[in-house]
Amino acid sequence: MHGRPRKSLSDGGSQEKDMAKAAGLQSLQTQFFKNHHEKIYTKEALQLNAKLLEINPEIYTAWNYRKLAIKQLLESESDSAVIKQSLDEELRVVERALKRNHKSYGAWHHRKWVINMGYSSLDHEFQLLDQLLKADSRNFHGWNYRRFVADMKKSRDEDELKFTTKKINENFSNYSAWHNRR
Amino acid sequence: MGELEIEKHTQFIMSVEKKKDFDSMVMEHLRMSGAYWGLTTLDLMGKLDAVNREEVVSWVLQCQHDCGGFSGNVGHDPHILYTLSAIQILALLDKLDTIDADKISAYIVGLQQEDGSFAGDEWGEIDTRFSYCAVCCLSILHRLDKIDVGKAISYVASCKNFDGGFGCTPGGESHAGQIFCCVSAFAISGALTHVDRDLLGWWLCERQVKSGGLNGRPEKLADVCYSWWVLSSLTIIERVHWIDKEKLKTFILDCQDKEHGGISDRPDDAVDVFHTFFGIAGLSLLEYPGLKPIDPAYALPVHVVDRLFFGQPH
Repeated sequence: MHGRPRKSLSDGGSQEKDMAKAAGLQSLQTQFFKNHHEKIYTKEALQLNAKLLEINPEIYTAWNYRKLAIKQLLESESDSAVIKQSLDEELRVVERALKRNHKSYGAWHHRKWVINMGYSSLDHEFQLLDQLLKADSRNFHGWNYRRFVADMKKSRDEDELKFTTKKINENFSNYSAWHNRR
Repeated sequence: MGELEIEKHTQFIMSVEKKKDFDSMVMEHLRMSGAYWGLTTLDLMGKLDAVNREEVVSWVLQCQHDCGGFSGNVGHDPHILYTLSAIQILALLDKLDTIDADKISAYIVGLQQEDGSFAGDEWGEIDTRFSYCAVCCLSILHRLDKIDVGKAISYVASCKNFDGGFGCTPGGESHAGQIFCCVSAFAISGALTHVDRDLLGWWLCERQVKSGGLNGRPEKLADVCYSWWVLSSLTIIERVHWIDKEKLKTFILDCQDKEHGGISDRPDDAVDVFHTFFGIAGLSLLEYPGLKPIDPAYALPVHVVDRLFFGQPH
């Protein structure tokens, strides 16, 4: 397991806590899959799903479910303010998931899928990326996503070059920053 | 260091399935890949008979959806990653006759995009990992001709970087995992001319660090899984002798949990079936005695690949 120290198996106290955590996750999962298979997209169901994703952003089916919920919304809702509000909530769910695992493919793709709809602020995306790439300047998900957002904004090449220069000045051997200058 | 604890690793793999702790639960969505890693490792060690094949096949088939794709576990959505793992498991167990190859091919064909790339599922994430999944899976099913191979290959080639490596998408930074996917996709499709072997070989052999382990990108920590991603790529482009094989062997063996079995990403970290597979697969490529040989592109034992393509009796 990446970066997780080997535990002694005889640690009784923490085993109990772990089994309780596992039981909690099991319960959330069971409820989520019932909602997914029965196509239930109520506010409560979406909140349960968000709770699940916050604990485990790797459950790709849970991200699919959110997309299905949004699709259903778009079929019935024409008020763009309502749509934007829902999509902003999606972005918040992704942000919380990324805090749990900033390398989650599912979380990053969901964000891209939402942004592609064209209702959301791209400036906020750059701010988020600044924070993330400060915490981990080699996060290739972040760099890939930055290229996507820069393209969408039709950012000038000079601006992106300035960003990579800044990252290189922070750490001369940041291979990711050098790569993104191509 | 010392030697490979085959018995301990066998026991570890057999025990993984029964675990109900939190860490096991968070991996439930990728059980299909977990099963492929575990079963292939058992076969490499000559211990596949410990498994109930009928039970495994029955569970795999429960994960197939009407669209032809397979999910990571029962009740989860289909995805190309788990479709490949499912087919690899069935190939390993010589049970490809239990599935409708045309249906699965149609699912994969449906995921190919205009530019030749592949989406992971209906939701459209594009990644060269999925190009590999498509090519490998269809090749195993003898249906590679169902996709536009030319476009698939030119898309992968468009992900080549200045350093000879490959990323997730065009412009993506070179990463050993993506490099394995791209180089293997080329190998399976007969398109290795797209690889600058010396340039890429140099980037790959630079992954070996002082401890003898391999990292996945410059300045990152060594990790046993790169013993596979880097080593298999070097093997395919015939540059394995550019790394110190003995030091790598030592590093992998140091990552074993000799008491409870299993291999971890680096010494003294928690073990898991992912790193157990990649460590042992790496040792197989390094010709560690007592392990069956593994095909570097299909990531299946050579005898399985031979059976698929040359009909050798098992």
